[in-house]
Amino acid sequence: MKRKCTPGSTLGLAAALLLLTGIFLGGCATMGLEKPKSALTPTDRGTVTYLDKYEFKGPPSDWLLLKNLEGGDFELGFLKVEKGPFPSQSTFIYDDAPFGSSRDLETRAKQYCTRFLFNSGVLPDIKKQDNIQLWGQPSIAIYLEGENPNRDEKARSMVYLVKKGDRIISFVLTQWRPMQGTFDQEAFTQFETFVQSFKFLKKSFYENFEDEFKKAGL
Amino acid sequence: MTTNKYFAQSLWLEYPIISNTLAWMGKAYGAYSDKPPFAPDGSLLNFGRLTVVIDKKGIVRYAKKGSPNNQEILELLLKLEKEFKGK
Repeated sequence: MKRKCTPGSTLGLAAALLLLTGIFLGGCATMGLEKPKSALTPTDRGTVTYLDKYEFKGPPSDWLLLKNLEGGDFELGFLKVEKGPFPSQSTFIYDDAPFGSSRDLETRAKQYCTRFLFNSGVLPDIKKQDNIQLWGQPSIAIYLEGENPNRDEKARSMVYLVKKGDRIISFVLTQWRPMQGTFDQEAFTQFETFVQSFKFLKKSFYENFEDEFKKAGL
Repeated sequence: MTTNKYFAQSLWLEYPIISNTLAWMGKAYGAYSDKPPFAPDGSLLNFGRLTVVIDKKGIVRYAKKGSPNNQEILELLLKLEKEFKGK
C-alpha cells in the first residue's frame, strides 16, 4: 500500500531533520569551544604547578604565561603589558640553561652578562652584584640597567644565578620603558615572590641527561 | 681567522668558530637559497639559520632549519658519543 505524503508528515520529517542538524552542529560547536587544558594548575596551598614540573606562587592574572614555540630560550615565563607608550612591559623567566658554560658562579655571571640583552642593542651596566643564598643554595643576584637611545628604549633587569647541584640555573626579570618612562617596582616585587616560592617537582631534562652521560661512562 | 678567534673569546666559547664569507658552504648544506620565499620587500633571503651535526666520520647526522632545540641536539650527541665509544 502506498503511503500518502500529508502536510503533517512532511512537517514532522522537516522537524526531525532540523533536530538532527541541530544536534550535529551543536556537537561541532561544543568541540570548537573546548578550552585546551591550562599548563598552570592551582593547588590548595595558594600556589600553582606548571606541567607537574614546578610549583610556585604565580603572578596576578594580568601577567600572561609565555609559551616557547621553538628552541630553548627559556623554560617558563610571564609577560605583563603595562600602561604607557611602547615598550612599557615586563617579562620574567625561569631558564634552566642560562648563557655560558662555567659551573663557577662568579665566572658564569661574567659569561652571562656578556650576552645579556645583546640582541636588543642595549648594553646594560651592572649596578650591583651580591653573593646571596636562595633556598639555601649559593647564588648571585645581579641588578642591571641599560639604554638604547636609537630605539628610545631603556631596560632594568634583575638576574638570579643559582647553583642547583652541579649546574647553574637562572631567574630573570626585565622591565622595558621608553627613555622618558619611569620604572615600576611592583613587577620586581611580584618576581621576587615567584622566585622565593619556586620548587622543583621533578628532575630537569639536564639533570637526567647528566645522569645518563655519567652512567654511560662518558 | 684571527677575528673569529677573538670573537669566540669575547663570547667565552670553548670551541673554534668559522665564517664562510662566500656562499659555497651554505649552499652545500642547504642553508642558502636564491629561490622563494623572498623577504617582504622582494629581496633574497639567502641565508637562513640551519643547525647541522656532523659525526666523527664526516657524515651529516642532523640538519634542521630554524632555532635549534638544544635538548633534541644533546640527546643526539649522547647517542653519537655512545656509538663512537661502542657503548
